[in-house]
Amino acid sequence: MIAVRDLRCGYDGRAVVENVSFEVERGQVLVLLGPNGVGKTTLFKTVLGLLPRLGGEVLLDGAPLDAKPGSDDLKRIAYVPQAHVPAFAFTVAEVVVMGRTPRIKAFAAPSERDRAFARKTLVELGLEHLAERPYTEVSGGERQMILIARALVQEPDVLIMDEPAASLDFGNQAILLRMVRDLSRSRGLSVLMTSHNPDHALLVADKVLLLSKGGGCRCGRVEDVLDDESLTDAYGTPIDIIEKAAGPNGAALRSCVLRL
Amino acid sequence: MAFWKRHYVLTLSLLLVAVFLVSLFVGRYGMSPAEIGSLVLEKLGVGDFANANAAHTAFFVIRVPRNVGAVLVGAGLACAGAVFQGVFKNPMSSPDILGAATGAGFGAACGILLSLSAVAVQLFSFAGGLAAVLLTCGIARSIEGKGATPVTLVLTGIVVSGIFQAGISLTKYVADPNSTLPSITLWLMGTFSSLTWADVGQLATLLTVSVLPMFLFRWRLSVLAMGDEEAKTLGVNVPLVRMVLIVCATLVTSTAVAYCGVIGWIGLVVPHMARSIVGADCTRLIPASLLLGGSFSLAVDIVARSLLPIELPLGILTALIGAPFFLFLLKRSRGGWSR
Repeated sequence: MIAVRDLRCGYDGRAVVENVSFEVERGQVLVLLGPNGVGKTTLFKTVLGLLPRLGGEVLLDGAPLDAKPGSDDLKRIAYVPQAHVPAFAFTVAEVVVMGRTPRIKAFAAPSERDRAFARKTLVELGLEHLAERPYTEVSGGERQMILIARALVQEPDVLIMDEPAASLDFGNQAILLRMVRDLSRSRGLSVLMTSHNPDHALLVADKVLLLSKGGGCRCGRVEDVLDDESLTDAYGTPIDIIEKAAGPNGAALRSCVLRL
Repeated sequence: MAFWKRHYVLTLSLLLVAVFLVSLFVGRYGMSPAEIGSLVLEKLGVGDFANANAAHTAFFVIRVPRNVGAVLVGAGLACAGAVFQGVFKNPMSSPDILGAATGAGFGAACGILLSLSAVAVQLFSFAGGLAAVLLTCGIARSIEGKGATPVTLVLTGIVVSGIFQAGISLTKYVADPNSTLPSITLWLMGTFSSLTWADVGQLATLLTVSVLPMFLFRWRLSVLAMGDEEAKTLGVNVPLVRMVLIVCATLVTSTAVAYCGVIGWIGLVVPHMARSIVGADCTRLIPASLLLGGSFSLAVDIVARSLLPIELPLGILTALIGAPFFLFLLKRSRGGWSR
C-alpha cells in the first residue's frame, strides 16, 4: 500500500501542488486527473523521489519511502514513463529485462534467470512475438505495453504510470486500460496513473485524485468525487457526465461529455 | 542469430589474433616469414640461430611494441566512444566530445613548441586533455548547477574544443616552420610508430585502470542510455555512474593522445560496427567494442605502413577508412541505428 500525507511538491522551493493526501490499497487503481500544468507530473516525480519533497511524506506500507539509489524500496515501486524512442536500437527483450536492474548488483549484468523471467512476462502479456524486434521500431501502443512488461519484471507492489493511454488510439486505450485493471486485481498491485481523459477514471479507477486549476485537490471514490460540478470546476469548462443503462448485465455506462 | 554473432567474443578474438599475426609481417624493415619465425624461436630460447642484430631490433624493439600499442589504444578509444555515446544518448558522440582530444592536442603542441622532451610532451598532453574536460564540466556546472544535463555538457564541450582548437592554430602559427611545426602537425595526425616497450607498459596500466570501471558499469550504462529519470527509478545512482564513466572515458582519450597523437574516428565508428554485430546492449557492446577497436586500429596501422613507400599519418587513414564505413553503416540502417 502506498500513502501520501500532506505532500507539498514543486521546484526550487516553490510549491506547485499542496496538501495532497491519498492512499492506494493493494489491488486498487487511483487515477490522477487535472488540467495541463496543474502539477500532475510534478506530483508523480515527487512521489517517485525524482524531485525532493517540500513537505509531507510518502509512505510505503506505513514506513517512509526511501528513494535513494540502491534502496530496497525502489524494487517495490515501478515507474512506467511515457514511451519515447531511445537513441539506440535495444531489442524489446533487452528493454524488458532492464526492469530487473534494482535487483542486479552495480557491477553485474542480468543473469540467464533474469532474462528468462523477462521472457516469461512477455509471454504472459502476449507480447512474445516482439521479443527480438528493435524497441525503436515497434508501434507506440506496443511500446507502452513493453514498458508495462518492464515494470512487471521488477516484481513491484506499486505501479506508477505517467499518462499510459496518451497517444494511443481508441482500441489500444481499451487494451491498455483492461490490462491495468486486470493486473492490479490479479497481482494485487497498487496502481497510480495520470490521464487526460476523465472517462479513463470512470472505466478503471477505484479512487480519483482531482487537481483543479485553482489549486484545489479532491480525493476519494470515483462516484464521490467525479460529478458535473467538480469536473467543470477542475477543467474550467462545462462538463456533463451522462449515463446509459446499457452495459453488460444492465450495468450503467457513464461517460463525460464536453459542452462547447 | 548467426553462430558468429552469438559467439561474438570468440569470433572477434580470432579476428584480432589474425590481424595481429598479419601485422607481424608488415613493416618498413623487410623480413621473410622464415626470418621472423627464427627470431621468435630464438627469443623463446628454442632455436639456435644467429640472427642479424638489425632484424632483431626491427622486430622486437620497433614492430611488436608498436602492434601491441595500436591494439591497446584502439580498444580503449572504441570503448570510450561506446561509453560517451551511451552516457550522452547520442550516436554521434565520440571520445573528444568534451574537448579531451583537442585539449590534449593543444598540450602536446605547447610541449613541442617549447622543445620539451618526449615524456614532458606526454605529460603536457595529458594535462591539456584533463584541463579541457574539467573546464567543460566546470562551465556546464556554473550554467546549470550541480546536475548539468548531457545536452549542456555537449554544447559546452563544443565551445571548449573551439577554444583549444584556436590555441592549436596559434601554436602552429608561431612554430618554427623548419623544426617544431612539422612535429606538431605530425602529432595532430597521430601515429603509433614511436611506441617503445616502456610506453606500452604505461599505456597498458593507464588503459586497464580506466577501462575496467567502464566494463564493470556496462549494464548500468545500458539502462542509462534509456534516459536518466528511468535509470533513477530503476535504482541506478545516475550522477555517480555518469561521473565515473565520463572520467574514465576522458582518461582513455587523454592517454591515447599523449602517447600516439590525435587519432580520430575510431571512437565514433567502431562502436557502431560493434552495435551492428551484437546490438545495443552494453553488456555485449563494451567487450565487442574493445576487441573490434583493437583489430580496427591495428588494421589501419598496417595500411599506414604498407600502402605507400612513405609512412602515412594515422589520422588521415582512420578518416579515409572510417568515414565511408560510417556512411555504409548509416545507409544499411536506413538512418536509424537499428539492425
